[in-house]
Amino acid sequence: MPRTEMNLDHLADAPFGAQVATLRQLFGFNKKDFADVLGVNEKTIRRWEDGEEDIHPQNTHKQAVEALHTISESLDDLFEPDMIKVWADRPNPALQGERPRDYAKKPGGIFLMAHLLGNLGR
Amino acid sequence: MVGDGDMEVRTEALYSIPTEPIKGIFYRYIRTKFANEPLSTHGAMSNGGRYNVAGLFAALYLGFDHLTCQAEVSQGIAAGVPFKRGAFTVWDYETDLRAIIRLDNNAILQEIGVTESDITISGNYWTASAIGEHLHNRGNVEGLVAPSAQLMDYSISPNYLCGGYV
Repeated sequence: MPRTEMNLDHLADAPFGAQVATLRQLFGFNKKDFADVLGVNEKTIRRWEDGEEDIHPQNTHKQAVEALHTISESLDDLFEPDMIKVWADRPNPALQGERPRDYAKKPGGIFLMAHLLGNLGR
Repeated sequence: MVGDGDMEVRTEALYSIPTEPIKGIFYRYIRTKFANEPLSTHGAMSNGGRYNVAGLFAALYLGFDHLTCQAEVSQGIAAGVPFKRGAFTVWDYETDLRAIIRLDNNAILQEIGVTESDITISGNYWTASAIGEHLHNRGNVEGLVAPSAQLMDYSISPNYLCGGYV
């Protein structure tokens, strides 16, 4: 069954579809808008979230999948679940002072956040 | 000269300032996931840092103390949110460099034509990265000691060693 509630516990260990749904909700997207910013179609988002395991996300839409994985892993590594929500709602100096949930809606915003989070402390 | 508004860096001075050695233990906070790569400069190379431009060359950023390291990793994309316990691992680096530049020395800053505040502006790396690039290009500088931009209000030694240019 598709996961409908945002669950930030052990985000990086969750199935890929659950990570997609959680990040989409964390950044406040509907499926169509999330698909647009990731450069995939809405059907792809729906299939990922529904856990259709015959879809191998690592082989298609590589850039979007990697960005989502990186954000999931990094947020899970760095913050407690309740702090992830705080992070998403707080103005961020690395994102021109915008909140991550707002910055995610800019073209390339998700990918820049993945880049910065993925390299933090590395 | 390179300039940012009213400030101008005397680039020629960057090629003649005498170097000095430094020896000691310095520290780095590494994300625990990457703690088995203590000499990795992946993040600095990829994201850039105050003294290195992304993609041009990398640098290893080390703190004189744990508090400086903690403050430095708490800036940028993770600013303002406490880290999970165990998110970072501290590494100690026994360091012995023969030729570094002390940007925490006011006389040297004066010679370069900048002030400490020019190289510690929050979110503005322009002057610092220009200095870093020239010192890197000089070819005989192994690193530099700079004031941390994150600990200006602390009474501890807020220095940061940007060493091991790659």
